[in-house]
Amino acid sequence: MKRIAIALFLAASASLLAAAGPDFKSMLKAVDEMGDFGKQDFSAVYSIVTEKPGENPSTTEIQIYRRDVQNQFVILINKPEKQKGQGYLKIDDNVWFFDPESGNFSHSTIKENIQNSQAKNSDFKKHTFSEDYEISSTAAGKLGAFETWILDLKARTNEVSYQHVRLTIRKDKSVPLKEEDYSVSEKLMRTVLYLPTYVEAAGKLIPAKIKMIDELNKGEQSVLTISNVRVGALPDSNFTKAFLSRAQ
Amino acid sequence: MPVLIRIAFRNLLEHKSKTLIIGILLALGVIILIVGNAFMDTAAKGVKDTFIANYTGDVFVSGKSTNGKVSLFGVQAPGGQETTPVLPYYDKIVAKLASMPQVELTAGQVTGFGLATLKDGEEQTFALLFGVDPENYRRLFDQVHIAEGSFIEPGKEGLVISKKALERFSKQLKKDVKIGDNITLTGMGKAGFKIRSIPLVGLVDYKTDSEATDFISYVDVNTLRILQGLTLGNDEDTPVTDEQKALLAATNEDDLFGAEVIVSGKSTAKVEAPKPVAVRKAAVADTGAWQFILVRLKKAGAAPLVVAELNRFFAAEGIAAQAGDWKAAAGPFAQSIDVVRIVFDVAIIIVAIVAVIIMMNTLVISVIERTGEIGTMRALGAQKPFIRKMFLIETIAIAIVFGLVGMALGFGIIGGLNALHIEASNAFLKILFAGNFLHAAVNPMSVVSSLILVMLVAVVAHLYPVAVALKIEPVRAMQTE
Repeated sequence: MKRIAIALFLAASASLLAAAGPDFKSMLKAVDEMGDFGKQDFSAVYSIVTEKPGENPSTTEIQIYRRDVQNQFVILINKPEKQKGQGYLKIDDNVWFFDPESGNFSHSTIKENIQNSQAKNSDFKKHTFSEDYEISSTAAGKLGAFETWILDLKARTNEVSYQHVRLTIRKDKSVPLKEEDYSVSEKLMRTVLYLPTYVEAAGKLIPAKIKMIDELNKGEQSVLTISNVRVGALPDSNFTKAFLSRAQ
Repeated sequence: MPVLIRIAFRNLLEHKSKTLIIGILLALGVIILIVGNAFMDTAAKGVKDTFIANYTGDVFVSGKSTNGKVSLFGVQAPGGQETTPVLPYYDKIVAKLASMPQVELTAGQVTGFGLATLKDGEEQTFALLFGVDPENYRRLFDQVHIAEGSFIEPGKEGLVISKKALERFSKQLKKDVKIGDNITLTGMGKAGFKIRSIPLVGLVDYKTDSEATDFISYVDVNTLRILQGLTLGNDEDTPVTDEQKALLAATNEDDLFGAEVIVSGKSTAKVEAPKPVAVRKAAVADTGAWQFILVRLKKAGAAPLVVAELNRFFAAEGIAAQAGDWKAAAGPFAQSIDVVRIVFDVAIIIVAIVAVIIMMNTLVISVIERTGEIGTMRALGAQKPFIRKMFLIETIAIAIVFGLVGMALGFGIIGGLNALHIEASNAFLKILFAGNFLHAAVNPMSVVSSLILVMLVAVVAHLYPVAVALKIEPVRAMQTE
């Protein structure tokens, strides 16, 4: 009888302990919300350096304006000089390109890579790990000076760029440090390192240095640095075709 | 010898059913070969003539790419996103071509891809763009017929598409596209995306449609150069900071994840709009940038010689260019006819093997039936070579007689099909017919080769039965009677 009582006690405490463990779902949600400024607009300057074997590294600097509540964003290219003034406007699923030389717009889709870099347009919209993926396994780990959780995520839909993502998240804050993207055949396609340099805006930490490694084409990588981060209301006119053509 | 021939013919007549079986097989073989080859040859010639007259010329010069074969349609690389190389030393190559007596005309070309939309339209369609210098190009491809409007005027912007492409444009852009409409072309090149709006000035049609006609559009070369980023002052590098360099160079992940650094961002109620940047000057097309030179020769047959001479010249001068014939220029578009040809040849080989087996079988039965006769001949002093010759003459006689019958029938079938004026109803048939209507012509060489092939099949088929016949012991053979 005594033994049964002890066994019951142990079982109960074990389940209690388990319940007290990390809540990975809300951790993922926190990662998603990291770049979510709610009803506030967001603007920043992204500088992308892309390195390809046998070529000089190329720099692209873009100004980005985001209005997540209405699923809108504007990208203006500042550098290189030959592309200065080119821009994208995205409203829902529509993307308009603007060429300042000819003053023409072209309507297009959203899945193309930005300026031949490893960055995809989807990288600039709201991350939804918690909605688009489900957690298939978890493990503890260490990356540099940081204790981490490693989460394996499987895609729920076909609409995401990668079917399997391994996400390494800091234990002390729900901030990602590393993202490994796999194809359907479990081939590592891309590694993204979110370095621990952050811009703090509206009470959130935004990773300011991101290194993206193309695992498919060896030697191809991009470094993204984020600066001039501002959070607050932007004029409505910023999200119009007229704004793109005016910005030249 | 006449005795042998007499015996052979007597045998053939005595064994009518077997002679007929073998003969029909051989005649069928000749019919398949003659009709099939007529189609194949006509298709191959048709594709060749269409491409040479409309797109490729006799000789094609391009830059070299390490990523794949260069054709008029770009670099054939897996993934298909490789940049087509710009032809180095264009002027030097043109001067060389001008000095060659076989060369009649030359024209430069740039090929690119673009998305076409109507101005302010939402729908888009794909366009394969041939950037050309209108004067030279029209002179070289004078067979391309202007169906409506005009070709691009020298020195002006303009787009010319085929009537087929117009149908596709209208369908995909969901509006009736007509001459005078402004078409917005978006190109992706070295300088990001470039958008140009140019007028549709003309429609062309071709004597014969090909796989390519649906896609090709002609545009003034400078517009395409801009869309492709082939512009002057294009290659300036934007400096990379030391910090960015260090991040790119870092290989040890643990080093990258040292201490945390937090910088404060700006949280403002109102974010000011960006300062307008200086008004952009339009990019200037690099008028020296060509990707290809197309060459028309005075005599098309000189192409291999000219190609060889040009390649020797490029090697000697250290120019990273290459010359090829129309097939090199047509690239993927000329390959389908080769595939059809390979399939046909494989089918013929299989049919030939089956025919040999059936004939062998029939001849073996014939030999067994004639065991007594052969034994008697041997007993009367006929040597092995005599028997061998007898069978060979029988076989060749059948092959010649029925081969000629098959040939006559083959000609009849081709004539009949041509007279029916059958129209190609789909793209595959258009390739096979090398045009919109079936018109096959027999190549005398293929008739000769068909007869030789059938003869060979017959000779191969008779070897084993003869071996069986020669094993017959005269004494035992006579006992079986």
